[in-house]
Amino acid sequence: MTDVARFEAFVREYQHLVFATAVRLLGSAAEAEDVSQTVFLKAFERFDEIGGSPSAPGWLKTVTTHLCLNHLTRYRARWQFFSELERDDEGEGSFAENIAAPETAPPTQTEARIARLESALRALPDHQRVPIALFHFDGRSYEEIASLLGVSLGKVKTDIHRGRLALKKVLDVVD
Amino acid sequence: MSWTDLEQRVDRELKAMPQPEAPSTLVPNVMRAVAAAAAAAPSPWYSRAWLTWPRMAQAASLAFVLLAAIAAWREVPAAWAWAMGEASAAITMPAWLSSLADFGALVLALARVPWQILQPIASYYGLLALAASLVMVTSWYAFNRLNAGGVSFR
Repeated sequence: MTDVARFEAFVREYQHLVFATAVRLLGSAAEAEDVSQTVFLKAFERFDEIGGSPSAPGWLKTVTTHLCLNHLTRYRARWQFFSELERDDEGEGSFAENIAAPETAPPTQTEARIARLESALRALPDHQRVPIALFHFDGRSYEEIASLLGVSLGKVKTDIHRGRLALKKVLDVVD
Repeated sequence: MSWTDLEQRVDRELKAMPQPEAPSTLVPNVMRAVAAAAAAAPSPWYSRAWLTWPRMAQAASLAFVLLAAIAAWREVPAAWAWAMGEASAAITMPAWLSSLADFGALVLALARVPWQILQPIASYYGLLALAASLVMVTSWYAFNRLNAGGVSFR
């Protein structure tokens, strides 16, 4: 098997892991795809080291997380500025009702519930979604998240709590 | 609902969600980008910019330069003096060559005079430049932190 074929198999094996990590941090499938592509390009540069390594998934997750945080920090300046100018309903009460229903109606109630929760997660503001994803999907502690994001422990706990409350409201509406 | 109950409930719900699947375009896009990158950069690492070298090569080259600088600073004058001493002891130089060597020594001694004068000042300015660089780097970092734009986790 050539190096390129080995690398393609590697990408196929880990594409969902990388994409899922990215989309849950970024909340946007298009941006997550871009970041995933960058992650795999970095992996290709170091494929000799990580190709057959058991630590490859961990390396990919770490690189994905850092690239996503960089992406959020650097490339959303204008977007965030204007979206915050236009945002006139900061009340969390409207969050559950504002979550868009999935584009294609899922056949079962469970799938509809999952799709609604996924939409709700993606619709959370970055400062709530990111620590929630790091806590619940990456299994990081509050302290690790505070250190990673460069914010206080209290801020992380507050943001995560508010995010959880917003998700709970969505779940209550769905249930 | 208490903090712990809420944490457990959300944790349970989120972990029950299936992993989002990558779009079918991801693999072909990655392979296309990899092919383009491979075609664009066929050169070996040592012919690329130093910043793109492997970490080990960067460390080794830095260590080599540092050692070479230290050796040049500390050992070359001593080695030169030793070699000159050995040479003068072993070889009976003709008078004209001896006077030429004396002249060379005089030129070297004269060339060292400005350095002897400037050395304390140069050291001072060197330290000043280092301090200024540190201040600039710190300011740049602080500015970026304050004015990073995008999402603020603060």
